[in-house]
Amino acid sequence: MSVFYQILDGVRDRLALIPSVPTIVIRKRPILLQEDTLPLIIISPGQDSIGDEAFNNTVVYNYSVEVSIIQAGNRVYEADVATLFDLRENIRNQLFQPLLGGAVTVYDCQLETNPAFEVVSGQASNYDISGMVITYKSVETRIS
Amino acid sequence: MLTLDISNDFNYFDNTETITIQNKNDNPLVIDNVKRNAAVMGVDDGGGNVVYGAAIEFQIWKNCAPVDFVPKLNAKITDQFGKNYRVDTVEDMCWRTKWSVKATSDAGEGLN
Repeated sequence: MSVFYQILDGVRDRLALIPSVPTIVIRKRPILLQEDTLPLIIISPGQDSIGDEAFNNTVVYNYSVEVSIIQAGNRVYEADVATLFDLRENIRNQLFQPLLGGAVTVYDCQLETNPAFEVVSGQASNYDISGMVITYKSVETRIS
Repeated sequence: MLTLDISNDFNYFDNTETITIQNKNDNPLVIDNVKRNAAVMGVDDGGGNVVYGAAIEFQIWKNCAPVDFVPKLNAKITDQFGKNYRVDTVEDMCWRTKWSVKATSDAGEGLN
């Protein structure tokens, strides 16, 4: 299995440890299907890039993973604020760890958060969307 | 002399429906003879995500609503099928004889 998918799988397993966590899915892109039940957490791959290199064919690859929380907002602006922050903090704490189970080459990560409540418009205006991007560092060997 | 009366135009439309509208912090109100315009259905990009929703326009004749009723932004509308919407814009139209209310379907309730 590719390291990238190991990471996606590992992220899903980590998030599943959170008490009362919403449904978690891995998708190619952060797309909500019409048939989905809310709330939903979508794990999707971002960009992978080459980081540091060292002698003896050692290379660090960076794998970005997007985690998106989608829930019903429906113009209710006072309720569920604390609940969302609890979930968001739990996700952060589960993911911002040096190691990731199932992906043995991962040794560190960086985490960037988007606004807790994204500005949404048009037909998306009744959704609350919150996201973060975790970039995992994986030390691997170049083939030569 | 011909008198133009557009305040009861709901009599000339087929497929009118009964809706429930609830302004924030107010009681639900049932209104008859509401006409629904064609829906705009689609996807929108919100914060890098793709989600679904439907934009609907309801025509509410003032003859069919209490005199002091004014639909407000973010009010909740439930249509005859039980599907919910939230009000985006309100227009006082046709010589102030009807409310034209644009709304977006609730999250997760699909396109139509």
